[in-house]
Amino acid sequence: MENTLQTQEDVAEINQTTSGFQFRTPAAIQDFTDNPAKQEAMNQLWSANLDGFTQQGMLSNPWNTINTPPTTNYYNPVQNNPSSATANVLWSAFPGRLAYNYPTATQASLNQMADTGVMPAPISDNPCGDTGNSVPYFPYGPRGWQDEYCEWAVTRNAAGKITRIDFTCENPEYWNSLWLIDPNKVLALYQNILGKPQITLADLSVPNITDPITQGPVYNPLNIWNSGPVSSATQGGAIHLTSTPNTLQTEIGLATAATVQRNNADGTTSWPSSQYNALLCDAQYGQKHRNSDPNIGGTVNSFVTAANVVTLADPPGLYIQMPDFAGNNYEAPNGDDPSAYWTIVRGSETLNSQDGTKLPGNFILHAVYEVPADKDYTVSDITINGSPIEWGSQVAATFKMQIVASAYAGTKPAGYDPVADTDPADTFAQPIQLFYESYFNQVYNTSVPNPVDNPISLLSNSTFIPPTVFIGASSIQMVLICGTITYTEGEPSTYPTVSFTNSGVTATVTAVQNNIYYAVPGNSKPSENFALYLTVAVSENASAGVTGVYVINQGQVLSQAMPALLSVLPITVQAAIEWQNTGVQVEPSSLLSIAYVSGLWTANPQDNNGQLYNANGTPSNIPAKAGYTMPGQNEGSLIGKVGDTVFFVGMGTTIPSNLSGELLLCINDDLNGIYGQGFADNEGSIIVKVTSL
Amino acid sequence: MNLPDMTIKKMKKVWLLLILPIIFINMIPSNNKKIQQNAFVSASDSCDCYSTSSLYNIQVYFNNNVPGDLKAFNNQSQADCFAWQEFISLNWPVNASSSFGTPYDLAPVQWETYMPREVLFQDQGVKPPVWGTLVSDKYAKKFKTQRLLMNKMSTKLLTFTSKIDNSDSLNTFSADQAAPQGKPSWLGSQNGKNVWYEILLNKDYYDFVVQKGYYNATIQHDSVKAGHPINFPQGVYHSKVGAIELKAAWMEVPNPQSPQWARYKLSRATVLDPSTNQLRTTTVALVGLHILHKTTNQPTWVWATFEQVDNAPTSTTVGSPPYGYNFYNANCTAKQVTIKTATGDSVVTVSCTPNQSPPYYLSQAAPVPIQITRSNPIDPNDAAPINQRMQSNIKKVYPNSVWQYYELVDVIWSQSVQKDPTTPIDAPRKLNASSMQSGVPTVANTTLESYVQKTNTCTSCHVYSTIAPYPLDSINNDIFGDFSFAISFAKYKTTFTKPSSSNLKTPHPDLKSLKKTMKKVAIQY
Repeated sequence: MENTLQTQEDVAEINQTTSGFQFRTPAAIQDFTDNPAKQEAMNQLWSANLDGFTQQGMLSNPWNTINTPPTTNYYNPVQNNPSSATANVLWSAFPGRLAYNYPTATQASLNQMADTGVMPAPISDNPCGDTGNSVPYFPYGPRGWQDEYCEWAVTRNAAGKITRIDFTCENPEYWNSLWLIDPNKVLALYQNILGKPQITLADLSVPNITDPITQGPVYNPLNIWNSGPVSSATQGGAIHLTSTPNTLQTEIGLATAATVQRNNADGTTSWPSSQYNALLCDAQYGQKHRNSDPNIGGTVNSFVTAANVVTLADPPGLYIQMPDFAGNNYEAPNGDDPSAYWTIVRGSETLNSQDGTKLPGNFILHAVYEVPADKDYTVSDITINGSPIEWGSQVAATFKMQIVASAYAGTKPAGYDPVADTDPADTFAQPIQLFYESYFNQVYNTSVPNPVDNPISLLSNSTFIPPTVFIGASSIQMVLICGTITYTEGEPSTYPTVSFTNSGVTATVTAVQNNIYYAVPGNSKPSENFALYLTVAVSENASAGVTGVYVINQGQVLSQAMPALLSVLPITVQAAIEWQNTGVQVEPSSLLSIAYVSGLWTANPQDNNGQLYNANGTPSNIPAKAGYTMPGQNEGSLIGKVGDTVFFVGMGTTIPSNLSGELLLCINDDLNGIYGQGFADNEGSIIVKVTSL
Repeated sequence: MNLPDMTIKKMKKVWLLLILPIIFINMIPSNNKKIQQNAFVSASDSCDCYSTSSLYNIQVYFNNNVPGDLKAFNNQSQADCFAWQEFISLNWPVNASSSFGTPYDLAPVQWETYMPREVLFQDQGVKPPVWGTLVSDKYAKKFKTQRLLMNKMSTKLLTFTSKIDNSDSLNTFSADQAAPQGKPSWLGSQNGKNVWYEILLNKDYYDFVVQKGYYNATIQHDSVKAGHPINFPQGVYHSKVGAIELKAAWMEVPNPQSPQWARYKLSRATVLDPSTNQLRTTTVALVGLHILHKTTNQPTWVWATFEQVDNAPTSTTVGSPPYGYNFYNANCTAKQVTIKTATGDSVVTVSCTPNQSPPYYLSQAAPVPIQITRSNPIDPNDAAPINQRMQSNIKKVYPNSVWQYYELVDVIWSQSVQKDPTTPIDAPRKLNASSMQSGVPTVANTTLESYVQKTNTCTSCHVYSTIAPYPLDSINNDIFGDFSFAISFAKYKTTFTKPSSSNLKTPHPDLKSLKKTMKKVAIQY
């Protein structure tokens, strides 16, 4: 069986909802229809992620900016979900900043730029200011310039004619979550969506590292099959968004920030649409001159000006709309219907809200425009308003994107002046992102090339999905990215301290590194940050759940925690993982017990009539053969290991004394696949608790 | 929304061209009251306007207060409702005792009192008459012999555009549309009459032109040479209206008492009969109306267009209106028409293939019905539901109003503000295409762009607008005219002192250029 990180019981604890509401996956897509347990785990994980993103956005920035108060007119439906009205916000998928930055370029040139990312000139790095430096066109990355929340990859034949265009608006957070549930599902989807069975799991993985929890591969969002605007049999494709600002977390951040009312020149907080770029600059959300950001922000802001309380309608997401084939005069050879070549690969044309009301617009996540190979012509032989399709951008120009807002009547909040930096005396250390150190070291040091020859770190394509640690784990090496910290290099006593809203989690700062240069996901440009190297411990009595992180500069009082940066879970042992690391450190003097808590699994779905069982192993009582985790013990039972010492755990045991090392746990099964499929066909997981005696 | 027809004529034809009055519509208000722009003359009934989401609601008022702008243009629904507010206020009756859209009421509505293009841009580039003038002295004098009742301050003169046909002879009138160019483009209605067109400018447009002197082509050129682009005034939310340019299509009504006309805004008109070359009075019914409006939020203008609902079906329309279509006949048969040509009579066939421009000029034969269908369906997401809502609202407040029988076709607007150029630029103005919004990609009115409905949307043509041509500065003839084709109708003073003999030996370069290039450009709006 494939890996399943979280069972339903596990994530129920981290998804504490007071409204009974659960965020749905984008377009309510269910990628595990073949496995209800995994689907449920995915649904729970996804809702928890969105809850966290929403909390982050609603908090705003209490650390180093002024006029960024917590929101009053944005709501988290997990906490409060009244009936509401919906409205879609629409914009063109064609990058709007191209025509703004290159006003003399012909439309043909703009079409080419939108596909290739090869730009005629640098642009200002400070669109909101009067002065700026000339820098290569940003956002950076292999599709960075496609920054309207829609990206595409074009497949051409040997003659250079377009045969297929893949358009995606799927957010990277969803695919990272999917990978956490099951990397093999991600692999299968890549192969199926792109029609490329040659894709391997290794292709999709970050080299040289494994996931500390699953021991499995780590997802690379900029893997060769989801990179750049060109797709071929050997590389490229568009599975999900990759431009650094094209994330769902930042979309929620934009929407939350846009609800804050801003004082404008006429003494009101009501902004005309002609000033939406100025509002964006005052509020510091999004990127000026996009089709999307100023319009989304301005519209959301206007809803609050009209005394509404708003949120992104469920399911939050970015959605492709149907192209208007007739209206744009698409014409295919032989009088064929050009709309027949548009296929919704993921998502749907219509979607209802959870209460059954039809939502506005289309909910397309991935669409393919492709002329079948048995036709005697290609996409390039189809014309739009008389022009042959030479670039994917010409098709992108014929459809729109949308997000959907929900709102209910409230009261209009007070206005604020423009966002600005705090005075030094009022500046606090800002927690930004938390990673496992092994992930950070590998990913941060991976440089990603792009057409404007301005490589940036792959860390720019990380996410705000919180890393997971197990209860009882210690000596966990992590890196916390921060802003505005104070310290003296080489003097640990001056380092900021790190703590957690979950008091069962503690951390020690072991080192500080400055000049951590990358685009924090959601940002369009790289910036300099700090890295705090941490050793983290989770007490065995810690509660499970998503926790916030505090960073406190020496001499300062406690500031605000950044919500949802770390996920604390009970020790969960997957049946399909060999020797799973619990993170629990065993010392020779340790006196630790392990006890089964919950969950069911099996080492052989053919056994026990397919029924899963607990840590005692199979009710059939089959002594394990040589080559099993622990020969002689019951198949399917829970086995432990510290160092080289293997011991039976079953429903509970005391760890043998005088051992040293990390506690590993494993189902008793055919480790090397000598007798059958080994761990590949295993199902389920169990939860255990480790207690000091 | 139209292509300029850059038909070039030689100097000797200029004077004839300049005195081409085409059609007069007599609109004599029952009380000769001075028109007050932007004044409330009615109780402010109002209604909600939105397509699907109440979060985008725009309150639409039933009064004559033409809006200067929306607070914000957030989506198509709001742009459409802004258009409906414009349509209602512009069509508000001038006569305080009139109601909104009383059937068979021939009295003028607000926009009909705006200044005709030919009155604003007069021969020799002279200053136009005072606001409220509907008939220029020159036109009134021209038709004095027919003893038609015309009062320049109360008779609204609608000068239908003229053009020159390919045979290089002057048409004495034209009812042609803007496109196609270089061939006949008149529209025949099912009652066998041709449609008439007019172009009008509002007071903010007028004031701007007068204040800047832009009624004179020379001054336009002086301005751009001095580095000042021509940027029309922008409307302001809850304040000044801003520049508005309108183009209307009127269908002739030989039987104005018939019950079917209770569905139309009717006006009295005087037209130059194509068969007799004589003026005659008639009744006309409004079938199409373009409203171009420049605002602060939309410096690239708001492009709204309306039609009477009985004009033409789409390819999928089921059923037909109670009195049939104005421009479509399900049982159409091809018609043989005998036309006059330079070499004698000839027979041409007018087919039933929809949206084909006619094969002859109206100077060659009388009009026949032309088969028209709507090529671009009315936007089902916004315009269609908004039309239903607004027609119903009008009916609720004004049960018999003719305006419940009109529909918004579409609105073009820009999602991001595309600011006015700060220096003169060449046409075509480059627009950020990905910012331009409309309900359907190509916007066309079946009565105004009948034959090019799929070809061009309004802005794709109007980016080619230029200032008026001026031979002594022809290098600047292509300077962008802020989307208005009307501005290019400004004339210049053509009389000049005969050079002395000494000067004749060495002609002034400008004069030489003038002799060489002095041509009259007639632009078909």
